[in-house]
Amino acid sequence: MYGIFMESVVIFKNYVGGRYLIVLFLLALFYLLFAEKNKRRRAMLVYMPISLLLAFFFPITRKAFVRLMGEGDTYYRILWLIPMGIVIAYGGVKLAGSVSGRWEKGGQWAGRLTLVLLAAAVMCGGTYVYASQYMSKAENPYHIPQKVIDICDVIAPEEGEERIWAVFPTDLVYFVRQYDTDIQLLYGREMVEPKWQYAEPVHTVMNHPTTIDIGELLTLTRERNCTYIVLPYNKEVSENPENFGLELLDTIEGYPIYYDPVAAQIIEEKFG
Amino acid sequence: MIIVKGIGLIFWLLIVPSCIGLIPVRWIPEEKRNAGVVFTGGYLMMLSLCWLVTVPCILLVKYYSFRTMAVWFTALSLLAAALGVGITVWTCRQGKWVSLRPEPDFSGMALEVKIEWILFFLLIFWQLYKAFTLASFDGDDAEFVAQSLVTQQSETMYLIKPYTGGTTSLDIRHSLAVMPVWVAFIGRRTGIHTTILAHSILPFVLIPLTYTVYYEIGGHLFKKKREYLPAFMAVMALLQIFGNVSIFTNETFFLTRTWQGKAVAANFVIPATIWLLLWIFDREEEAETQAGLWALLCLANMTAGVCTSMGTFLNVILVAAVAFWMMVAERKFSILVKAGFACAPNVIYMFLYLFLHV
Repeated sequence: MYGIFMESVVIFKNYVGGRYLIVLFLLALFYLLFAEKNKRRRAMLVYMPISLLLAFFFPITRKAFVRLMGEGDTYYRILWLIPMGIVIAYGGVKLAGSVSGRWEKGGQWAGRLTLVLLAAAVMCGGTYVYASQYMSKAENPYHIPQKVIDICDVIAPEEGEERIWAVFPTDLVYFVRQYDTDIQLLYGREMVEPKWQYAEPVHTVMNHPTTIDIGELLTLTRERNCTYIVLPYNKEVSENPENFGLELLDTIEGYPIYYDPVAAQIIEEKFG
Repeated sequence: MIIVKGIGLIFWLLIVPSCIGLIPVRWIPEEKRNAGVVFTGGYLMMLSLCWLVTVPCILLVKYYSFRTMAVWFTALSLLAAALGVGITVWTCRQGKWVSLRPEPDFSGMALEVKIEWILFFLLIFWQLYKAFTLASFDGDDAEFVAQSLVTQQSETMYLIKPYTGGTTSLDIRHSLAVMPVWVAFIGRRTGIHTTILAHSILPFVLIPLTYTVYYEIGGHLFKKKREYLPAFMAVMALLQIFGNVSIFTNETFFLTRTWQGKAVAANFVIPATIWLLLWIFDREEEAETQAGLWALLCLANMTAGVCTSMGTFLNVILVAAVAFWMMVAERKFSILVKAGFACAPNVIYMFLYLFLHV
C-alpha cells in the first residue's frame, strides 16, 4: 500500500511540475476555508477539492482506477476534477475585494495591489505555455511540417488510384496520415513511441542508429507491397539504393524519396 | 469558395448549436438566461446528439457508415435547431418573453472595470492568435486527427487504423468517444480538410466556449459584486497561459491540444459540470424551474463520453463528490438520488463499453 501511495506522490509531483502554482492553490483553498461563509460554496470549492485530493493519494483509489481503466498512466487525470484555476481565481479576487473594503482611505488601491500581486504570482509560479519545446511557428494551416506535405505530394496517388504503402523515417510518421490517408505506412506512431515497446522489423531496420541496411529493408518492404521509401536525411545507407533498382524521385530537405519499380511489379503480378 | 466555406463554418459551429441551445432555455430560471447558456447548452446538446446518431451507425451500418451518420446527423441537427427556434417563438407568443441578457453589459460600467475587461479580451486574443500562428506537436494527433481524416476520406468509422491505414476489426476502445467523427462531420459539411479544421479553426470556437463556461461560473460566484467578474476572468485567462507547469495539466491540454477530445473533456465538459452543479445547488431560494439545468447536467455527462471514454468515469466521480458534500451541507439524501439519476447516461455508456468489450 505504501508503494502505491508513493506512486501517487510521484504522479502528483510530476503533475505540479515543481512550480509554485500548487502553493497558490493551497493558499486559496486555505483562505476560502475561513473566508467563504456560504456553506454550499464551501462544500463545492473547498471540501470537494480537498476530498478529491485525499482520494487521489488513497491507494485503494489508484488500485480501483487501474482495475477499471486497465492502465495507470492516466491516473493524473483525476486531478483535472479539482477546479484549481477556479479556486485560485475566486479566492484571489475575493481576497482583493475584502482588502479593498477594509479601509475607507486607500482600500481600493490595496485591492488593486492584491490583484496585481496575484497576477504576478500566477506568472512567476507558472510556466508560459508558448515557450514550450513542443511549440513552433506554424508553416501552413495544417500545422504540420511543410517537408511532410511536400514529400506526400510527390508520392500520393492520383484521384481514383489505389492507395499506396510507404515507409517514412520515424520523425515524420506522426504527420503523414494527418495530411493524406491514401498513403499507408508499414509502421506508424505505435511503433516509434519508446514507452510502448512494440517491435516491427521494418522499423528496426530504419531505426538503426547509424546505417540502414538497404538489402534487408527491401526484402521486408517488397514482401509487404511497399512501393515508396523515404530515407532519413541523417543516416548512412549500406549500399546505393539505386543498385537495387530503386528510382530516386526527389530529395526534399535532405530526405531522399525512392520509388520501387520491383515492388510495383510484384504487386502487378500478385493482384493484376 | 473560401466565402462558402466560411459561411458553412459559421452555420455549423455557431448558428446551429446556438439554435439547438434555445431548447432548454424555457426551463431554466429566468435570471440565469443569457447568450452564453444558449451557446454552451447548444454544444452540450449537439455533441450528445452526435453520439446518439454515431454509435448506432458504427455498430449497425456495415459499409460507408460515416455517410449514413452524416445524413442522419444533418437531419436531426437541423430538426433540433428548428425545434429550438420553434419553442422560443411559441414561448414568446404565449407572452413569456425569453429574454437573453447581453453579456457583459458595458453600459454604466466603471472605467477600472472596463480596463479589466479589455485586459481579459486581450489575453483571449493572444491565445487565439497563438493558436493560429503556432503549431503544437503532440503524438496523440497521429491518432485523433488522423482518425478524423480517415473518417472524412474513407467514409467508414473506426475500421481503419489511423496510424498506418491497415484495416482492423471495430476499435471499441475509441469508437464510443466520437469526437473525431464530429470533426469529420464538420469537415464534410464545410469541405475543409479535417487537419486544418482541428488545428487552425476549432480553437476559435473551443477556446471561447471554455471561457463562456468560466464566465457563467464567475458570474454566479460574483453575482452580488459584478465588478469583480472581469478580474476573475483575467486571472482565469492568465492561469491558462501560465498553467503549463507540466505536460499533464488541463491548462496545457487546453492550449496545446485544444481540438482533442480529452482536452475538450478537461476544459469544457468538467468546468461545465462544475458550473451546472453550482447553479443547481448554490441557490438562495427554491427556483421555479430547475428541470433545464438537470437536463443540461445529463447532457454534460453524455458529452464527457463523446470526448473520451474516461470522461464518463471522471464526470461520475465529480458529480458524486459534489453531491456528497451537498448532501452533508443540506442534510438531504435526495440530492444523492437526483445526482445518481443525472449520471444515468454514464452508467449506460459504461455498460455498453463493457458489453462490446466482452
